[in-house]
Amino acid sequence: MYKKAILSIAVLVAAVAIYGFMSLDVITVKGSDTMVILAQRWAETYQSKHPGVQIRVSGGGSGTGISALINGSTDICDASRSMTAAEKNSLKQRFGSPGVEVRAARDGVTIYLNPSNPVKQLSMNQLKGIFTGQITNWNQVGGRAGRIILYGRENSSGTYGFFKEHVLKGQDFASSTQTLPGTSAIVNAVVKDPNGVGYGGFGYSKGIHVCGVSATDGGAVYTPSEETVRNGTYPISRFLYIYLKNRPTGELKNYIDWILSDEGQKVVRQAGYFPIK
Amino acid sequence: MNRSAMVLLAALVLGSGVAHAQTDNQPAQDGTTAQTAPTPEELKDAMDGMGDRVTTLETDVDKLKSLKISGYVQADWQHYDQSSNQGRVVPGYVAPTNANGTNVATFPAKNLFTVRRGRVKIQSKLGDWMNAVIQPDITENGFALKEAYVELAPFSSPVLMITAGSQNRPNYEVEVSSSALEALERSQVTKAFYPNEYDLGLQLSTRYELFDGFDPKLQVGLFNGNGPSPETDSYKDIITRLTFPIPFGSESPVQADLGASFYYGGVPQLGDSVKKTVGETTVNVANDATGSLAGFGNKENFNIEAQIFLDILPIGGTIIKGEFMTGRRPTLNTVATSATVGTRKDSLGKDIVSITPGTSAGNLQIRNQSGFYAYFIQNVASDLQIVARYDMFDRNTDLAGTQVTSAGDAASSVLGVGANYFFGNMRFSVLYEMPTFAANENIQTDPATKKPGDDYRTMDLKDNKTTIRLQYKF
Repeated sequence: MYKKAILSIAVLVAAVAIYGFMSLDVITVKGSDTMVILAQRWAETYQSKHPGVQIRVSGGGSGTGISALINGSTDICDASRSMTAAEKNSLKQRFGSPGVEVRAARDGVTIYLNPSNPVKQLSMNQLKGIFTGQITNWNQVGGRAGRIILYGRENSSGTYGFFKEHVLKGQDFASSTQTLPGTSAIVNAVVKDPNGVGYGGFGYSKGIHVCGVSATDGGAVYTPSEETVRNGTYPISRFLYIYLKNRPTGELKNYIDWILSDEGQKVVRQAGYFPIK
Repeated sequence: MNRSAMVLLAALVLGSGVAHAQTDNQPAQDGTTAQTAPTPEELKDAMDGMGDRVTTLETDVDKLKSLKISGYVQADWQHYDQSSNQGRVVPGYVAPTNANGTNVATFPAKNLFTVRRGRVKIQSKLGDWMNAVIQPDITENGFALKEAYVELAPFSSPVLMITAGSQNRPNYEVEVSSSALEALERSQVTKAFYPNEYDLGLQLSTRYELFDGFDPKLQVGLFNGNGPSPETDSYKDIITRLTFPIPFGSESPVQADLGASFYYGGVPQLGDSVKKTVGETTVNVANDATGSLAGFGNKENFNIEAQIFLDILPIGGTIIKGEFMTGRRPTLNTVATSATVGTRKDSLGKDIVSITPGTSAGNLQIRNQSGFYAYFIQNVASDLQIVARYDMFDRNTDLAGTQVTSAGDAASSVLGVGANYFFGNMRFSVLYEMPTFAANENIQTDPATKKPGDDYRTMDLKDNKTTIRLQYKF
């Protein structure tokens, strides 16, 4: 019996050696819709300088990207929220590693208002009240009379999860919230809706009214900027993450190192987010 | 439904209304006008009505989105090494069972196709705090309900989960999904101490982060103790399990989880005695003299477990994990009372003494048992996994060597080597298993392998098993 076992193991080891060192020339990226434009710009810039490398980028939301990382169908997961303990455990049980977390950029979750909306600032408590359905009219927060129309993301979105945890303090979104499939859709909806309000990455805030946010009622009001996000005075600041199954090697490591380099972080600024360093 | 869809719907309705209005505004045959064009107020009412209908539709869609259907199918081909289709019955030999639960030593087929598992999981979530699951298993052997539970999460910090219904018992290998088992099936010792994996009961589970990277998890469950079958007595089994990570830090390439669990329960013995091994023999012990053997307390085990995760090799992560279990279980008494002895030739023409043991339908026998399993798993890139597992189960730790005279007292071990290849939702697995069992002159009867003077050694029958599995998750 042991001869058979030794022979079986020898064959397997040989197969492993051949398979494991096969070069990786296609890198797949999946996850956060907030980061999809950033990820595409990273990929285009990197590929232009490394023609032998193919990088395929797709969105779907942070939750979708994390699931893809756990089932092995993507090399890189972009996420606008950190992985949960349960997700890290799933990754560990499957790949023998809890994954590698890379803080790739900074962002301020931005409150989008219609340009005609006179409301210029909201406190965290008011935001919680608005998105949980306790505040339903703009005149309750200093605006003109009009029913507040809520636009939000699907629950596979990392921004949805981050907003729920940090702004709603774990409470559910109001049932009247219209869920849209991406941040662009939210911005488009708010631009067309004078009573609309939505949230998403700062990188999507062109052509929209960015609402100031205060941590407390009557407190100092900040809008997202490199300075306020970096020093944390903007109350809804966050990191944007890249997750990997294992410690990267080969071309994957080169790509991650490049993202964190000055050149990669320059792309972060171009995409409307804030560099990590 | 998104905004553009709402606008489209509204446009269709309004368009339809306008079309009707235009039709209605055509001069009638008698030269009169039937109706006037809709006023802005009427249009606004129509829009509001449409908005209400869209809201209703959204509510219905949200209800549907809260219902999630998933599952997996495992299609197996299994092959059993055997010298004869008639089987070679060796008393004391505990052969592995095939997919149908039949002892392969007496199973008339050497290979078979089978649907090992056909699971459909229907899950409904109400927010983040309630979850209901029903999971049947549908195969050629019929329909069996596996999981059916309601899960409540009243707090998010510390995490508290309350699970009621048919659910996995708290144990590492039991809680690993059958779709994720690296060696395709659970180990012998897990199957013995946690038969059928599922039990009916109530479980509380809590996890709390005491400091960064250290979040112990405690599970406490009260179960019927009768697996997925209906309850037959008032005794309930309690299972506790504590697991915690070693806080190496999230950046460390070495991660480890440790744990311990305790199972305490019982099976009532309705007769006036139970069987127990005393010294080298199995004897009847009166119930009234040994109260704990008669009911609650005759089923208990203590386990320790460890999982080590190494992200060191460039080809992929390595997992080394294992669990040791020791305790006592109420088992069926299978002491041989008479045997039919014969001789026949095996496929190589060698004489084999064939003994068919008779068994007494005796009382429950309380056996002290122990066993362990150990896995070595090496990931290669994202889609290949090499697996080796060794597991051992000693069915009666009070007996050794020639003292073992019955099947229910023999120890056995299985070494399995294989590989899993993942592509999308598919998984292709190959596993080769090599069982051995501790034999002695009382139960080892093959003259071809028996050496003079041997009274206790390891015997290797021709009983290896190959499994090829294709799994699809949906």
